[in-house]
Amino acid sequence: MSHVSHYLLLDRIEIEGANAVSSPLTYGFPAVSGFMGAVHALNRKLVQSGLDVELSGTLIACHDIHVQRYRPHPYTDYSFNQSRNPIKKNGTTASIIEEGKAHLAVSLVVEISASRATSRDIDDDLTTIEQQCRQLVYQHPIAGGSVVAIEAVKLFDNSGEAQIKKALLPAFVLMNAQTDLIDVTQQMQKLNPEATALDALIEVSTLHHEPVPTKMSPSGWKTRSAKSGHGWLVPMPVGYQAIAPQFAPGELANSRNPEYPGQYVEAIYSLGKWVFPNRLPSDFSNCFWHYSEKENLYLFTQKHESQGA
Amino acid sequence: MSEITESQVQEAVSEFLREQFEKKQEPELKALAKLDALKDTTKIAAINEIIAKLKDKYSLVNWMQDAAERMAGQLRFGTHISKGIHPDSKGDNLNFQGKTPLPDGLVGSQTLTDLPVDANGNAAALPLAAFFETWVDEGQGIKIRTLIQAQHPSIERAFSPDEELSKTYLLRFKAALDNPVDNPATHERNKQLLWPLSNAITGDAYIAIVPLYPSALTSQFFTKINNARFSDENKLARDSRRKKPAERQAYLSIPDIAVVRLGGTKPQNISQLTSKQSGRNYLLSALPPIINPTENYRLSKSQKTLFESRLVQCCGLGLKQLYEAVSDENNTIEIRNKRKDALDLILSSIFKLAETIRITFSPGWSKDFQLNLAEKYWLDPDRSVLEGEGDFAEARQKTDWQDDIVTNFSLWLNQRLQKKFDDIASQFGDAQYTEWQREIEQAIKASLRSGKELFL
Repeated sequence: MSHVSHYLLLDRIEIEGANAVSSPLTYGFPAVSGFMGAVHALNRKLVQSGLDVELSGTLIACHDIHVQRYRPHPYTDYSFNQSRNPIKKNGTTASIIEEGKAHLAVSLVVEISASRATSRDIDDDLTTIEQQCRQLVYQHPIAGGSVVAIEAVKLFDNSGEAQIKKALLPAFVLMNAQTDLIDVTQQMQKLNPEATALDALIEVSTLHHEPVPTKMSPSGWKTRSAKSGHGWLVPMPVGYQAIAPQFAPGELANSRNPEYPGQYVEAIYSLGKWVFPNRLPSDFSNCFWHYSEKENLYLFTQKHESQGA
Repeated sequence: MSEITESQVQEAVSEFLREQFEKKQEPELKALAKLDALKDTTKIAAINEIIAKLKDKYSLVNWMQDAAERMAGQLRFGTHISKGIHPDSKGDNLNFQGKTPLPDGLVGSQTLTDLPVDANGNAAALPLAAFFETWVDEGQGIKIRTLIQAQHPSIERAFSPDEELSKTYLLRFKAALDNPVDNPATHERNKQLLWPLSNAITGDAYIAIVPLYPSALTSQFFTKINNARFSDENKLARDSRRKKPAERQAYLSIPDIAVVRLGGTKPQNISQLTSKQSGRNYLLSALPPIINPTENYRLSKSQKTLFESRLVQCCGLGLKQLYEAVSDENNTIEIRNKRKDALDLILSSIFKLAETIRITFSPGWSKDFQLNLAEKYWLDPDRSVLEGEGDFAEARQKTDWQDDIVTNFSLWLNQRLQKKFDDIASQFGDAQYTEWQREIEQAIKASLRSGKELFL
């Protein structure tokens, strides 16, 4: 069933109140896990309804996002607009636990893998399945926010890549940029052998203001960034790593799902890149995020296991 | 680490106790200084007694006993804490000193060579955490904690004159620091998520993963960013911005940082390290290039084309980047990529504007506007289906109006560049100038063609 037979385009999903804090180090766009989780839930519901498919990869494109943040002055840091939550059971006010929220519009493209027979069934019943998917997407939060509108839900066969790329304009697609992080780290290490990949994450977010002759720039200043020439790079979480051995089912007290094994993890980070659709890699399959687990790592990757993660 | 001697350790321990004692007796000494030696004898005696008690408390024998028997049990150590996820969480802390490196291009706790150990619990026991973080040899990066965790010979006799007792304390400290999870317990306030394994749906194969807050990592991250932004060097250089060209120095800034505060007004309830940074944590921005062209653009009834000077407002960011890339005299791959990135931004802004106009205006709106026909076909596509618009629909079908858009767009962009580089245009080599001009036209054509949906 590993063969991609169709693409499902969820065009311009408007989401309200999504989680804008994607990890302990980053904010600005929900974590990939928020979208992957929603697609996995959709997969389960489709299978329950009798459609034996595997939603094997997800492409994430962002049209628009408004992070609910505020700063009194351009030189201060942002803080998130907070909401006062309902009172507790005993009538006392609940303390404010800081959260970051965002309203956003995204398009998702989902790879559908199915057997030949199922794939024929899909072809015979495109509109019904599109309708069904539309309803199911409304039923489940995405990245912690509620879905308030979807412009279109459309199935394409696996040759529809060009049409899909068109439909994604003018959104930006989130791509894995791990190799750019390696590049930036190596560049930094030429000057400072102690520099780590964490320093490189910070470097990518940093602007260097350098004095230049006024004939080059009237202000006499030029702004340089390590990411220039690399595209729109951003730091982001790309999954988790185990930080303790796995517990057998039932061993971890207060687990919400004691029927499964449990494990303590921490988020791990890399770079992502926001890419304009007509500059996506020519191999469309590289644009889709997948779940992958290997040894101690639970990662979202964009390459199939066979190509090496 | 093998060169650390017992006397070095003893010195560090007694220095720590002396500092603690001095800090505690300071208010008493101040009070004492205000009193009159002849008149306030009883008060002086009382204060002296307090000081004597303090001295006693901070003696090696007493403090270590209290530390090992009380404090060590009241603190929970770890590099990863549950309370960072939610202040009400009572889940485990975990001490992760990962040695296995991550694959290249990934960042996690072990990316840092030395992780501090965080602690939370009874605030009255936090001095023990400070004790563990005391330097024995800063040059080699060795703290008291390092020696305890390695059960280094030099520290075995450091906690008590009684050798046996000292070893007992050592083991207690080590157990507290290692914080082994014998009876693992998470909490309803911890985040917990199900990670689907490859046959998740068919084989019901999931693993429940519980992310903990990496306060050891985030505290180092916080320090790194603060050092970069607020070092004296950077502050001075930043102030040089307004000085004469000769005195200017390069400086850095990290824009768009957001701050969250853990624990509100009581960061000490979260952990020792959190408390040190007043609960503040920095987050770096991962925002996509979002430009809101329509926020400051209004289509007027009398304008003949979208491609006029006001359009600059919609593409500010992209144009700025393009100007930068074009003014760079080098012609490296990096600069060419930068030019393409800038073009993507400009195109996306203009597409977005077109999209917004089509969505917000009701079909047929262009009847009342002076726009040229090609742009009416582009921006008011649904007018074709209205009654009595047969001519419009037919003409829209028949003409190659997309080409007009491409031409107008290229002309507009070239005008911007000519205007901007009026004075230095001659500095560009002709070949180079033609090259990027062609690049721009190609990019526009490719995008407009592939964005056919926008013309429907």
